[in-house]
Order: sequence, then C-alpha cells, then structure tokens
Amino acid sequence: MHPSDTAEHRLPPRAIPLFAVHAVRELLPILIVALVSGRLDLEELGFWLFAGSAAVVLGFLNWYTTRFAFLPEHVSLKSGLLFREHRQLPWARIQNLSVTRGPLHRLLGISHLRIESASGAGTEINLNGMTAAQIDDLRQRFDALQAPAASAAASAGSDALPPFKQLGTGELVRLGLIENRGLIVIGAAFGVLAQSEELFRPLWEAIESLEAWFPKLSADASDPVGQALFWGSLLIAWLVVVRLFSIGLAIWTHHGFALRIDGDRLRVEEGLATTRQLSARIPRIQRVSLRESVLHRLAGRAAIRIATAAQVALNETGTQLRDVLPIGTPTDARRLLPVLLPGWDWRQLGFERLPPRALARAYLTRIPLWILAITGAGLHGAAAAIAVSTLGVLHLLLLFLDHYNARLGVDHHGLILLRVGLSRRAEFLPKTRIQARSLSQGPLDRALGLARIRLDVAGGGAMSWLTLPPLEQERAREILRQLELSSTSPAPTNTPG
Amino acid sequence: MSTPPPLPLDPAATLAFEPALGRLLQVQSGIGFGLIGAGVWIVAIIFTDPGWLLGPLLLLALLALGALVGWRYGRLAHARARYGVDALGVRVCTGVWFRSAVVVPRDRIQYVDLKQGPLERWLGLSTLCLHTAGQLHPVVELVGLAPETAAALRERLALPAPHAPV
Repeated sequence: MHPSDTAEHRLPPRAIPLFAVHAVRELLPILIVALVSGRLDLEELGFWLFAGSAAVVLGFLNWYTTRFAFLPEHVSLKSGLLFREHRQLPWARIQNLSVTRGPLHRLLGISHLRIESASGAGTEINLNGMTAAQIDDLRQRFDALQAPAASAAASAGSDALPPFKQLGTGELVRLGLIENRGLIVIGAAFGVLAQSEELFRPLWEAIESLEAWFPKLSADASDPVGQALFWGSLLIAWLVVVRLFSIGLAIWTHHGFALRIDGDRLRVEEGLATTRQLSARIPRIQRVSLRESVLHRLAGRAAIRIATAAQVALNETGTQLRDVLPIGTPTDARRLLPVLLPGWDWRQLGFERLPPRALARAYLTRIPLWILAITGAGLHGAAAAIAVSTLGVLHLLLLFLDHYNARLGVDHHGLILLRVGLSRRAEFLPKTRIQARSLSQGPLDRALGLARIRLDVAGGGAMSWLTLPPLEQERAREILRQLELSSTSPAPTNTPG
Repeated sequence: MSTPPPLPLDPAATLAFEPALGRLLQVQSGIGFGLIGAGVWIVAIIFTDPGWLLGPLLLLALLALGALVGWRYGRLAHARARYGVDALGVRVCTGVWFRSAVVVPRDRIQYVDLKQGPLERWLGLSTLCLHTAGQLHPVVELVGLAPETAAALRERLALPAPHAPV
C-alpha cells in the first residue's frame, strides 16, 4: 500500500479461516438450541456438515463486509452484514497499536491488530487478520502523524533497533519464582475442570485416595513427628507446584521479551504460543510504578509497570503494554525510569515525611479493634489472648514502620509517593496526566486537622487512582494547588462566573 | 440556622447551590433517615416485645425522629455544598460528616452533559455532569443548579480546551 493510499481494503483472503473459527462462537447459541430441541444430533454427520458450512459461510460474509481505510484524518472501519457499523477513529485519539499472533495466525501468516483509544469500552478497532505489510503501513502513518521528528528513526523498522532490555529463560524462571501468579493458573484450571464432570472425576479420585491416608494418621495421633512430616511435605509439594505453575506462566507470557525504545514510543515483543507486539507512547504514560518486593530484593531485582489511558475490557487482558520491565536489576530500573518520565529530575526533589498525626489516626482506628479481638480471644484462654496480642503488636509495629518510611515528593512535574515497608514501592504521577483530584475529610480527620488527597488517572484498571496517606489539611491544600498550577499552560482567560 | 456554615474544604469554591436543592436534599435525607428509623424499629421488635400499643407508637416516634434528623441533615448538606468555576476548572465541595472537595481541571473535561429527573424538574433544578477520562470520578456531578446557570456553564465548559488530549 502506498502511503497516500486512502482506498478501502479488505483483510487478506488468508484471514477467512480465522473468521470461520470466530463464526463458530456466533453460531453456538443456534447449535445449542438445535441440539436441545432434538433437531440435530451430535452423532450425526449432518450436524457437523451443517455447523461447518454455516461457519464457513458466516465467516466469509463477516470477512467480506469488513473493510478498512487509512484516511488523512482518521482510520475508518466498516463491518457487519445485517447491523452495519461504520467506525471512524481520528488519528489523534489513538493511544496504542497492539499486535498479537496466536498459533493459527502464525500458520496463516497474519496478525490481530488492535487500535486502542482512551474510551472506556475497550479496544476501539479490531482488525483480526492483517498482513505484516498492512500493519507496517499503518505504523508508519501513525508515527509520521504523531511525532514527525521521530518518524525517521521509526521508518528504519523497529527490529533494527537494539533492544533496551531482553529477558532470557533464566531471568523468566526467576520472575516466576518471585511473582506468585501460579495460583491464578491453578484456580483457572480448577474452573475449567469443574465445568466438566468427566474431567473432574480423576481429580476427585486423587483427592479420595489422599483421604485414605487420613484415617491412618488420625489413628496414629501418638506419632506427632510422622504427622508433622506428612503435613509438612504436603505443604512443600503444594508450594513447589504453585511455583512451577508461576514459572510456566512467566515463560508463557514473557518468552522472548524484548523492550525497544523507538523515538517516543515503547515497543515490547513477547509471548510463547501467542506472540504479542505491544506499544505505548511515552508522553501518554499516565502513571509509573516501581516495585521491589521482599523476594525481589533477595534476588536483587525490581519491576516497573506503567498505566496507559486505553482501558482494558475484561476479555482483552494482555493486549496492552503494562509490564515494561517485568523483572530487571535495579540498574535497569534506574536506566528506564528517566526514559519513561522524561525531563523529571526527582533526585533534586525534597521528599517530606508524613505528619505524626497520620500515625495517631491509624492507631486510633486500629487499637480499639485489636482490644476487641484480644478480649474475644481471652474468652478462649490465655494462650489465644497472647497469640492475638502478639499479632496486634506486630501489626501496629508494621504500621509504624510504613508511616515512618513513607515519603512524598511534589514538584512542578508531578507527584512521587514512596512506600517502604517489607516491600518497596514508588509511584510516579506526572502532573499533566492527573484527571479529577479530590480532598476528603471524615469526622476523625477533622478533629486531627488531617485531609486525604485522591488523584484520578485515566485507564490502568487497578492502577487508575492513587489515594495518598492522610496529610495535614493545610499541606494537602497546598499540594493540590501545586498540582493545579500550570496544569493548563497557557491558562484560559475566562472570567469566573 | 443563624451560625454561618464553616469554610468549605476548598476555599476557592464560593458559590452556593439553588435554595431548591435544600428542599430536594431535605426530602431525600428525610426519607433516608426515616428508613433508618424503621430499620431500628424492626431490630427492636425482633429482640423485645413492646406490645400492640407501644409497638406502633415506637415506630411512629422513630419515623418522626428519622425524618426530623434527615430534614436538618438535608439543610446542613445544602448549606455546606459549594461550587466554583474559574480559569483552572470546576470545584465541588460536598458532605456534612464526611466532606470532600473535587477539582476537575478544564482540559481534563471530555464532555459535558445536562440532566434533569422528575423531582428536579418539579423543583426547577438541573444537574451538570462533567465526564473525565479518569476511573475514580469518571463523572463529576453538580446537582442543584438553576437550568439557565447549568446551560450557561455547559456552553462555557464545552469550549475546546487549550491543548493536550488524554
């Protein structure tokens, strides 16, 4: 395609099988109704012929009616057979392009392109089945429109750029050991298994055979060592399985991870079965968060995550660039942060502590609860009371440490919140990315002269807003004012009404 | 109410809402607190047996008390609610016990809506909705403006922001 080409295009005919596969999903309700009503039978050849040909016809029609064009002002997408949809997305509203390729895509030599805007409804334009040439064309136009200066570098092709960071398998194993996400996989597997009784039966049998051990153990209560060994090894086996799944998940999602910095654009390639090319523009990063958990620190590692304004629909997780540094050394993190937050020199920033009254507030709300819990435990005996009090003291101690180590920095670029407890976390919020801001105060805050700031950020799911710890009321107002000033530069000169 | 309301959380928010908002809030919180009174009564008759005469009397008393507290609460809520529109954006301060002050900068406003429910139409009120790209306050509402004020504000805020998309 020539850059000045504004004609309508269809996806390549190679994409038709993909559309047919997706059509099966649309046909499912009809097929289920046909099966339940007894019109069709799973055992019959006719069923499969009917379902197959219907999927192919519907897939072809869906493919045929999907047309896109890259016009000077916007990307246009027409789709739908009965309900026609014509979507126009202005270039300036595009947040990211993301490209994913599953095994079927790779077989057919095509990719799934998602064009994301900041709308809350998820991906704006879905083009499932683009060729590499079509995507390159789109990228070049997008880059040329977004950053004319950077387009020269971009046109050289992103693969030619040396990667900023790559992750080998060893590093991914480490990531799996640190980030305990194996539980998610196991939970999902249970969910799938529970759908089908036949798949679930072997699992039940395994659990039942395990239960056969229990009578032996309970009968042999005189052997505490044996019992401890049994439960201990069961626990260790569980932990090992969870970690193994974590490692598997890390390799599955991040295999071949390469981060490239291409002008003002971040590009990430990763994935084992489904490869993904994710990108985000640096000026549109809404929030950056640096994390060092206890395990990270033991391994001498850190992780960086960003939030972009494109909002993710539930079924589209993983199509958006979030983990720009899933795992890396502190040196990597120190190298990457200035790239993500250009022109912001926070080393010069005077960080402030939280007011002592904030700790008093935390204690005032927690101590009565602990006293209640200790009294309740005391009814069950002194040992329980002592155990609960120990927990309470530990909790209050952790609260103190968290409060003592928290730091807040505000300057004309934005706000940084540091929380240093057992795990460390730094949140960076560029001022120009903050949406609505609010100050709130309950009766207890008012009595202590405290107020709490909340800063709203676009997109990012769980990373979407930041609630600061309570601050002195006057200081909170001052910080809000500081974050307001020159948020609009030049300020509009409307008279207040 | 002879004592002036205390300063709002955001001193730059200086404008009071329409007096009709006070009536709206009084009706709403009167009903709300009345329901709380009814809830207290239900709990009371579960745990005690006040008898056929005392029971209904207690209910009436609790309903009346709830409505009275709600009436006063609504008046306070109106007296303490303030808004302001300046070069930076829109400010809204609300709350009696738990107070909050929200600032929506002008260039963060994506679009502006007006809406009017039946009760509001009857009282001659309008609600201005400011939509942002955020997640915590995707819609900030200014409840209790005169329809003409709301329309004028909408026109002013709908002017294109000086720069910067999301």
